[in-house]
Amino acid sequence: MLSYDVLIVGAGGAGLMAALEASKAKDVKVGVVTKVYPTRSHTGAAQGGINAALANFDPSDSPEVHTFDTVKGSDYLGDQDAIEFMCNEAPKRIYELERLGVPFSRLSDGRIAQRPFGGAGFPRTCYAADKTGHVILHTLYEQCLKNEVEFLNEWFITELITDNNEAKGVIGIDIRTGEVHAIKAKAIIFATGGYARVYWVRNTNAIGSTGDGMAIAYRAGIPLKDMEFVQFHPTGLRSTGILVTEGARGEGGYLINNKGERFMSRYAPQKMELGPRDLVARSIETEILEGRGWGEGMMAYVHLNLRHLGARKIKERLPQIRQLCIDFEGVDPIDEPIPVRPTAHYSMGGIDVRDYRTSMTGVNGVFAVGECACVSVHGANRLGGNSLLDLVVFGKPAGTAAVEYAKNRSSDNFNLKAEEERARREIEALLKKESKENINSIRMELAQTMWDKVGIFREEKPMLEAIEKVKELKERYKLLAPGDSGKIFNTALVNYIELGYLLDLAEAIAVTAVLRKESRGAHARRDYPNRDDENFLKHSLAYYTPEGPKVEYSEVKITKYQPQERTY
Amino acid sequence: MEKFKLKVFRYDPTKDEKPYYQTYELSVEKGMTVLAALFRAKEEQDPSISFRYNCRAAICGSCAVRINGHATLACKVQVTHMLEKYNTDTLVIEPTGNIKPIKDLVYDMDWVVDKLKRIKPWFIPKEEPPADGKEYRQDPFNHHKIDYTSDCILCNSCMSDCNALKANKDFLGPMVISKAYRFIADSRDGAKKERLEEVLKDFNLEWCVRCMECTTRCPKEVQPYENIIRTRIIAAEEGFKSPGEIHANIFENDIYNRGMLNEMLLPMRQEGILGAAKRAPFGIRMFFKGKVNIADFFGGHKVKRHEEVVKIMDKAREIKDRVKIRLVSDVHTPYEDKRRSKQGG
Ligand SMILES: Cc1cc2nc3c(=O)[nH]c(=O)nc-3n(C[C@H](O)[C@H](O)[C@H](O)COP(=O)(O)OP(=O)(O)OC[C@H]3O[C@@H](n4cnc5c(N)ncnc54)[C@H](O)[C@@H]3O)c2cc1C
Ligand code: SF4
Ligand code: SF4
Ligand code: FES
Repeated sequence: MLSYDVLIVGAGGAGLMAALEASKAKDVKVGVVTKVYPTRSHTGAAQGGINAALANFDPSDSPEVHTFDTVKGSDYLGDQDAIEFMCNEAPKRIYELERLGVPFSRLSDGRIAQRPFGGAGFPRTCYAADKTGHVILHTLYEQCLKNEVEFLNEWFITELITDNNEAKGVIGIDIRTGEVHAIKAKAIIFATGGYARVYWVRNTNAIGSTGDGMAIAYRAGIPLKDMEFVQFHPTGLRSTGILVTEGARGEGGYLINNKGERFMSRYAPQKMELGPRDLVARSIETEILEGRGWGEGMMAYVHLNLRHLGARKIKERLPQIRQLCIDFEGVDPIDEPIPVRPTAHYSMGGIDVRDYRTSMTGVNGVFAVGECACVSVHGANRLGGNSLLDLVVFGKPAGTAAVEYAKNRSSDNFNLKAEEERARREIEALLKKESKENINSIRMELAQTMWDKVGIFREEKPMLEAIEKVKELKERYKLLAPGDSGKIFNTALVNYIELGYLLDLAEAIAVTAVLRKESRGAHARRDYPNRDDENFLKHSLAYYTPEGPKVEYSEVKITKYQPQERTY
Repeated sequence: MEKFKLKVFRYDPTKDEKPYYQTYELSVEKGMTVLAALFRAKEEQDPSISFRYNCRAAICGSCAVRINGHATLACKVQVTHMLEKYNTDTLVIEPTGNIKPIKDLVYDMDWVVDKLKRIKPWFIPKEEPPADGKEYRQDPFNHHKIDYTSDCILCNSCMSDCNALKANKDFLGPMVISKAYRFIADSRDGAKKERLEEVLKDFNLEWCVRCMECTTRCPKEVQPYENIIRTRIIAAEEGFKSPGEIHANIFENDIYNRGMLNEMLLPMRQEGILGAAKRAPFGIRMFFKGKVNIADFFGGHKVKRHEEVVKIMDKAREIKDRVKIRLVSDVHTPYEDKRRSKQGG
């Protein structure tokens, strides 16, 4: 049986950072298991940049200001001790990344360049053109190759095995052979990324961002924190949800409804299209809901018009965006307006981390970092550029802590073999099972329900309906089967199991969202339009039960900054 | 509604003796990418088709396949555009060329990673970190040299369609050499020599037949072919005598001595008598086809007004150390400019 001291599940920015750190320890066996090749992880898609108060651009920036911006951005739901730690560590981690070879864009004096980003007091976002996540991901992978980190590429983890509140190992399928294996590990770090795929087509995430680690930990008894908070980006392409960056509006693009009006004049007469992200997203949704968009259901949209900028300006200033529209929507913005709609972008919620210094959860030896974790540093709303930061800042000490933990554990004789046998039988049965359902129809109905009822605008009644609908879909899921009995590269099996994860997560999102009777950050309720610090300045914790999530709450850490109204 | 055919390469080594093709009929939809079409076929007609995917936004490098014979990212191209381009109602989808398929459209990535490891694809700093504890400084000019080469998403479209790799599976291949260049050209990197030695081994830089297929296929405009040439130039600047450089030396001497190239003696001087003997049949064929002047074997003839050639070359040699020869102009083209030029049309 494969056996490691430290096993890292996930090879995005968070997983690789942890792996790199853990691999520095002597006499500790470290392994990384990932369902896609490390460089295929979703981290590669991050474009804009990573925040750190280097003060390269503006000398008056500081980690204190960064801390405050983040606390305010989180709508005071972030834990201030963890946020302070993150913002203080940020410059050190950026220098570390640079010294590992990341080709950051530069100022003329050779220092790392920084650009302004939403919600930040100073230009603080370090970047490499429009491919910051890509270069960070590749650099970390390269360094892992150098340190001879052991990778189990294209392995799909399906279960976490614990005993007596202690990590024992995981169950996984080697996608390449189809074999089911147990992997023994003293310490396990989850770094499996976000869950925006709950909203299937209306999201910016990779197809594999199905929240696997969260669902796996949840089913193993670890609570999920703040699941009701999902960030929506105002402009995604109509048919795929792929991100059209703010740049398009920054250069002078108009948002137009089916009456030909620049409707933002009703919602933000001053800033128009350049209002804050959540406001623009809500405005577009309102237009569509009130019948002033085009198209139907999930495919409804408004126009982002760039034509008046002229061919020359579009080609010069927005070449990437133009290419995206041509490649993914079949529309050339020089000749036609771009069909857009808000799109799910980021999961603030995740596996409940108990100690930000180690990223350990409530189960000994189980850690969580990156988008799958909830520390919480993003609270009710994440600032752009703070997620990549979260990966590297918390990934590193988690690697060290997992090594320390593993060193202090002697091996035991827990019977993992029995779990392996059981899992193998279950998978074999699945492969033989006959399907009476279609995977795509369940997935699309889930997405539609979550979008309409637990999306940008929320209200008690529709959310309760959504919970019922998800329960119904879970029943229908029982009739579904992968439909492919092959062993090698059976991605139908993978997709089938992923859909099961999405269903569990959707339920946790909907249930916690109903219970939070206030509006805070990304959670906007029509029936409770204001923030309610008295009753809801607390983290939700969803525990798995076969009947659905059981919700408890935990305290928000407030150190320096008392909650104030959040205005920009 | 209008229909098209998706003809997919199928192969499961545990079941099939040899590969075959299976055709799925789908509706043509505006905006549908080939990746979306593969998913449509998988989810509605045949769950057993295997292919790789993740970002569906041309950044993760998972989904390279050959469409009607040419490698590209399935998620980056539209069905309607492809049907129009090849003027057909059928898209033939095959796995990348040159790399062993594992199942259907999925190829053996480990083979590529093993090649990649040979050039030490990681940053090896030249100096200790700066005393102020901050970043290595790198001016924007030097940064531009590595900016677009670090765009490579390891998609292997270039490896798939490389003609040299087709002839010689041991050739490192365009992606790998281009990756080596990414570090060789990094002003902060200290292992230039080591990496150059690795790419110069086994004539790797010479194996490239300059067909440009790699640069044409690359979905991220990394310019692997140009990076191979840039690596050759840097190797020469660093004083390495690559076969290419020896070739260039012979060329220079011939021009100086005769004003033209002695093709007959070139192989002999480059590879020695034995090496040249291997080529003899080819030389003899050329002779009979009237392509070679037999006088060349005996020192050869000269061009008319040879003395003027000598004058020009003398002048060039005289000022050569003062005028530093610049790398070919597009080596230093900044990232943004390059993008714009490509999107001009
Ligand atoms: C379009 C876009 C742009 C963005 N831009 C920015 C930005 O500019 N700045 C910023 O800070 N943030 C940005 N973000 C957010 C940021 O990119 C992500 O939050 C972050 O990359 C998540 O990284 P991660 O390491 O947690 O997970 P991921 O990179 O998603 O990696 C997950 C890993 O887990 C593995 N995995 C998952 N499930 C399993 C399983 N069952 N078994 C085995 N392995 C598994 C996967 O193979 C993968 O290796 C952006 C996000 C998007 C969508
Ligand atoms: S130019 Fe060279 S490396 Fe590129 S495809 Fe042709 S032979 Fe291969
Ligand atoms: S050089 Fe281009 S084609 Fe080749 S692997 Fe890199 S991105 Fe793909
Ligand atoms: S799916 Fe990522 S490049 Fe195509």
